[in-house]
Amino acid sequence: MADDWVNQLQALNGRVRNLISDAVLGDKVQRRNTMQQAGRFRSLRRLTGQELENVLGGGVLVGVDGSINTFGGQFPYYVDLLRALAKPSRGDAVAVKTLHCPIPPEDEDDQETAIRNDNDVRQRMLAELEVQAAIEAVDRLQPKVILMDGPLVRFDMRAKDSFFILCEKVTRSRIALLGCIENIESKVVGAVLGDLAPPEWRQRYDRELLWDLLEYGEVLEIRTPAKGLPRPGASEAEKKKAVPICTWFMRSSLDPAVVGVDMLQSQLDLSGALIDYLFTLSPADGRGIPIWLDLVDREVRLTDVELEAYTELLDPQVRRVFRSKRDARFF
Amino acid sequence: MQVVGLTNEQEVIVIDAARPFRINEYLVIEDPALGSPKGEVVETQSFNRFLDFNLDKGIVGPEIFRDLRASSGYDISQHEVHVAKVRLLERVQTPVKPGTAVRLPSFDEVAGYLVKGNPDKAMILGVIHATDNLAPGMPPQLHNRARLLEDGQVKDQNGVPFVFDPRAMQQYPHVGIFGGSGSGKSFGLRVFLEELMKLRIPTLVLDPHFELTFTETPAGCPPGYRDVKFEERFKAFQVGQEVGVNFAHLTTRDLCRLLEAASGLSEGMTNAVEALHKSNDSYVSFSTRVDTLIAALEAGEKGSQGRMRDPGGSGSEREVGADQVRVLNEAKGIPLSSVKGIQWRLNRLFRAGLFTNDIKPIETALRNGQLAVVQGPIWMLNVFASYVIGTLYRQRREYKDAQFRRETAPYFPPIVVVTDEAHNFAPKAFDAPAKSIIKEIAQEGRKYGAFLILATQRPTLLDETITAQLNTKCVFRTVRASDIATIKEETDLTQEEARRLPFLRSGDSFVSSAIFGRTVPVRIRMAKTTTPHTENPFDELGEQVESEADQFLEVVGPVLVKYGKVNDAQLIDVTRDLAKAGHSFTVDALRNRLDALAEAGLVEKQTFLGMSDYRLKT
Repeated sequence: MADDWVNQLQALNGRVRNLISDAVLGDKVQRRNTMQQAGRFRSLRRLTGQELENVLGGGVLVGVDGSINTFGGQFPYYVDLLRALAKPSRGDAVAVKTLHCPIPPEDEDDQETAIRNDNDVRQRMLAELEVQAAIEAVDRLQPKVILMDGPLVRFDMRAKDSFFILCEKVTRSRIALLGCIENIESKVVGAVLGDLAPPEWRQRYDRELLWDLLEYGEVLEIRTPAKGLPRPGASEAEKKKAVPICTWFMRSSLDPAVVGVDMLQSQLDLSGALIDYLFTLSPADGRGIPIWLDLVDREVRLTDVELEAYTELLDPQVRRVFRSKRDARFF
Repeated sequence: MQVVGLTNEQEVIVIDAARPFRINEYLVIEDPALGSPKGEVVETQSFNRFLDFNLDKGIVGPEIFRDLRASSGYDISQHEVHVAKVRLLERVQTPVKPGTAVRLPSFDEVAGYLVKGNPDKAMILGVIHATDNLAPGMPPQLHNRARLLEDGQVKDQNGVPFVFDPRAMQQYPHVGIFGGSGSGKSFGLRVFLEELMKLRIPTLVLDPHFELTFTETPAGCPPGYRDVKFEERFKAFQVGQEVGVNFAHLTTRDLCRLLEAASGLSEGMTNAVEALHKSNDSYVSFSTRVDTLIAALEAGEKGSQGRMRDPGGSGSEREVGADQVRVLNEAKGIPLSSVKGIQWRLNRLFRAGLFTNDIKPIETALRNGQLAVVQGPIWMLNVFASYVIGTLYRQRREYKDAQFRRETAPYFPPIVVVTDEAHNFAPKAFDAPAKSIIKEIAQEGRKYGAFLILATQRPTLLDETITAQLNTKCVFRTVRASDIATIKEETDLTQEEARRLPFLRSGDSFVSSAIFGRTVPVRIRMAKTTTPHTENPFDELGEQVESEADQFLEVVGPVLVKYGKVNDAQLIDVTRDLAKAGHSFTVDALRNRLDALAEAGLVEKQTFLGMSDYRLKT
């Protein structure tokens, strides 16, 4: 058995290397030349002194993140405590919470589908909560910048109506709304280049195309939106509600993988001007996103003790229904 | 501030978001069911959950947080949590309720734990650590009682003074002062002595380092700080000069001890002393007897008898013979070597001046409430200590015993006996002349009003029975593991405090006292006097060399002028000239000194083909 793994893993090496090899994708120079047709490479700059004070002009920076804390395990016997947090650099944070439990389960014969559906529900609920927290932060705190954890298109897909309201509000108040993506799963470069892309680039992820291409402290600015666009053949109403989103890629940490920054196309100038600031706030040996989101992420998660304390509110019998046998494992 | 986590009857964890805790500060735990017990912070920590230590993750440099703060006003330190381990001053019945609020006390709430005794009538040794926030609530008589010396700067008293009431020694007698070199132990001892002088307590000090005099004022001493005329309250005596042993008062056992201290006594020698010494012997009578016995033993019995009966001898000759015969009869069977050993030891003591004086001046000083400092080399002090402490203690005991029996006896005041390097006077595991008397005072001195203050850097080497009787121990920085172990065993220092011992600043000490029932961290106050040995010996060396060079130049200068230029061959003539002027040098010595002068640039030296010329620099 072990031999199988050895062979399989060694074979995998070759396959993965192939994905990002110069031979397939073109060498660095070729790749950069091609990509320049989609966007512009630029060196980032760490802000200092007065620039730092000016960047928000005394205003507030808000970071938004959400978390799902689950009690129980086996579908449908679990409770999700969902929470979204909009944390301002000064003042009190906005926290929006809700609860999700798939009991009683929807009328779906196929267990697999039921589980998948329920997962969609959770994700939609979470996205909705995060957008709500951001909206409330806009109303209450009038921040200069809102950083969302993850791609903006996620909200466009899962909490469409609220997200549209949020976008209107930030555009009206000239609040920069950005999404920071540590694990990019997009195919933006291929989409923007369209026919200009070499055939080998078709259907390739940005992560592969941009692997080790940018120098540390470099950004690829792509002004063409690739996400949030109306579907072909969409109705007028749908077109109206579309929020086109541009994605820039920057190598803000020493890691060869780049991170993505989503911005509303309508705010491209406002948000694009902040890219140096985001770089300044990203630790070189971190995951490449501004430290502020690390702090919000840390704060939004419930600790085990908190989760335990909340579940104490359930009747002991009810609690036992949820309690997974896994929790009683010895190891 | 509130209590969190697991609690018990003696210890709690307290957290506070606003202010870091300070080690040794006092806190009130407001648990009404337990009568709001007080506690002392014994360990402190601070924590920021966003800055936790995790080797798996990257490290965020401080500049990111600085930039975040500059741009958005966010301060990461707002998440700081301060944690303190607090030990309750008194055990409570049940564990403290978690979640109990905690606050800083006012002075009145903890006064009973901090100040024992009337500051006007007691010794003020220093300032209790981390009590500065209590100071404003103190009564006026506790203010401005001490100054502190911090990094060479004189500072005002910044907390509650540490008051040590000698009266409490009646119940909890004797003090130990422990600490390595440079720990501030000597200053601590000095401060103890200054306070004893302030209170006019009769004190006998054994000073092997010749440093415990109180005439000098330390540099930077603020005006008015030296509020006692110490120079009038102490007397220094050197053994063999101002004070000595009155031979006539010696018991045979005392004499054995004295001789033993001069150099170890064999059993035969002890027997010889016992056979030869008579009560009321003077030095002269005893030493003559010893000399006579030696002469007799050398002459042999027959020789002595012959001398006694020699018809041709003079009257005095025959008398000498008679003496020899008598002594021989008294000291039957004592070998010559033993007697010679005694003679040698007796001579050594005599030459050191031990028998030329008595201890009257010390008694007088003590009766006047003065501090009597006895100085001498350590071997001599050891001999003398057994005699002087024994004699004084006996007088005090006779007075008290007479009092108990309702008889009258001459008054003798209570005394405090102080010694540095106490492990030399009362060592563990082997004997020293003064050990038994120090042990006796340690065990029953308080009954008679005789107390000990013993300072040592090696508590491990101090006799254990004595260590156990020291009810107050003042512990300074200690590095040696064996000494720390001893201190841990002999005091109520906690694990945490013992861990801090090697890192204490000079002048910081833990006072573990039965009077306080626990350990009090004290910064010893600035001394008002200083040791006479302030000049650095190496500076002194440099000055000495310079002044010698000057002197030599004065002597040799005129001769060099006369010769104009001196070469190697002429050096012999120069020594002759110098000898005429009363300075004798060998040629080599002269050459060395001239070379030294040349090196110092005072004389010009030229070397040609291995021959040197010296001339005076113009």
